[in-house]
Amino acid sequence: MSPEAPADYLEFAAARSGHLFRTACLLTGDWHLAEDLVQETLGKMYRSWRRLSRVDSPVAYAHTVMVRTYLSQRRRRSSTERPSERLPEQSGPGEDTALRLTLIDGLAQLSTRDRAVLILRYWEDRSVEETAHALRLSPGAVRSQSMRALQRLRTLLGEGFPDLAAR
Amino acid sequence: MPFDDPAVGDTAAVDATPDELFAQRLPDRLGAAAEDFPPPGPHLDQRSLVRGKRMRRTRRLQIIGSTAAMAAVVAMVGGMLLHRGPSLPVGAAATPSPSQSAHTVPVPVAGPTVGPPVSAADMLATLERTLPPGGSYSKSFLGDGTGSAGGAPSAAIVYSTPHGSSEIDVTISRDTPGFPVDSEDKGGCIGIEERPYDVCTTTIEPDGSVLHSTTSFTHPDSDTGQKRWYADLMRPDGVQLFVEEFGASAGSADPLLSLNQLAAVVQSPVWAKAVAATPTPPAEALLPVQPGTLPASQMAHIFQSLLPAGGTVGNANGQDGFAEVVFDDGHGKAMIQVNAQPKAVDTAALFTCAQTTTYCRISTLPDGTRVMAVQTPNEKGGRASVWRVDTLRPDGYRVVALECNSYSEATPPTRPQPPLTFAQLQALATSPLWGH
Repeated sequence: MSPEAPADYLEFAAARSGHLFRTACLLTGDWHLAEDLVQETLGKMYRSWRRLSRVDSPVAYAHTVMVRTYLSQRRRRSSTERPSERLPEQSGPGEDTALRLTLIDGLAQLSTRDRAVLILRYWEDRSVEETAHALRLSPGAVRSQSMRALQRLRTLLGEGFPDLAAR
Repeated sequence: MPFDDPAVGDTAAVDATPDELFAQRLPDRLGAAAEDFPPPGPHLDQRSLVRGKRMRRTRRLQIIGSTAAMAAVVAMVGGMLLHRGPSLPVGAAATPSPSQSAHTVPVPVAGPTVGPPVSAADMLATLERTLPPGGSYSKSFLGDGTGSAGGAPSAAIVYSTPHGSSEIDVTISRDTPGFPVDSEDKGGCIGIEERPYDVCTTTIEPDGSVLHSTTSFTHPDSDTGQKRWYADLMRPDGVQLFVEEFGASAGSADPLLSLNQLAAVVQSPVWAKAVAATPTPPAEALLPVQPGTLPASQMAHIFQSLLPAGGTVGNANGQDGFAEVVFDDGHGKAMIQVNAQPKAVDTAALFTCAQTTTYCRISTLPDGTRVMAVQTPNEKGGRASVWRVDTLRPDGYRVVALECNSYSEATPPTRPQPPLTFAQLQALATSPLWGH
């Protein structure tokens, strides 16, 4: 590894890349795009590491960078395959499973911002205020959007995800 | 069995509403779904570092986020720049001078009054009105009105004709006051380094709107698989209309609408009500620009004036302090970049040959400018060769010129050597036109 990279950055990237990848999988629903999103996120972290490591919490900041990058990249890279017939292309190595296809497909049917709200709140366990900061929304908007997204996901999963959508 | 849920019988869950129950169970489900993806490829952290180094080298250093403004969009041309109306003073009107851009924190301006809200159904109906007659529609799974959360209105639909089906999505948004446009990643052709297989054209309309039309792929790092075409219209009033469409999932069929038809969608007057209803996002403070950074348009102008005569220039791309082109002197396309950085830091680590394996020479010019000429394999592991001349003036002004023997660092070589000699690269980097 190049000596140009600070040791604490390398330690951070090694420790966090796995979790960031999982978050990226949920955001993008696509193995390839998740890899790309992690590289973009950690690349941006590296670019600003000296400033960050003195000023901010790198872990929290990485999630903010990731979700903002994800939202901004909707134009650049389709978040999911968009087959007209709704039959996904093989999106990465390995076999898809029922759980992944069902929940990931449900997430994919939300708007990008709804998906980001749910993943920050329910996967990253971020507070309303932290989520609001990451998404550049007001806390009130996060609360209402979160509730709406939850209801929408629950409705979407109704048939394919009976226990999670149970009444 | 992935659907088993021990929480179903929990006492705590008994009194919960269905929505609360769903929210309680969602974290575990998300975790399971995330874990269900195959693991990432090897050395993801190290590959991320490679990308970060490229970002650090090829973009403005030390500044998080990007601060190029509208002018960068005008300067950024993939393929062609077309003017449909009177010529805009490219860069001149939209670009602040270096002194203006330095440390500028604009006062956020209030957005226009938001009109009556539009619903998701309104958006879908409007999208249908913009599509060619004769097709049929199936309703979308995706779409939003302006809604209580104040998000950008969007709509998506599957449009079908006897020739096939394409999903078509449209989104309307406004600039964030005080926030760099390209940090929001709206508009503009994306650099060939990132998107070697895109074909992107830029058209400046008579009203000053800038239209970008792009043919790309869902997985844009390859030129196979599902096609994704899109058009975005950036209006002078800060409104963006974006439409994308997808070809069939299997094979390489074209989407149904041509790029001109996509352009007609975003330019249609039927969006007026939705545009009026689109709220302006909360203001953001502009991150400070390093004092003295050359605006994108000025970078592009100086850079292209310094290239050898007789070649052709394409895929011009730029930001404040950065410019790149694909240059072809008739012997193969080659990417050439330049970075101009007013106050370089950590230069001791930069001006060393310790890390170079191929070729490296450090010298000092009579005016005190330090020059390092380096030849390296490309950092993406491909076969392209990268030549770089890094110059540092006594006042800390750093200009880096870089080229490779392909149209991007990640693509196969197009020629044995890059087009410029090291002497030409050095002349480019040390030109007095860069100022200071």
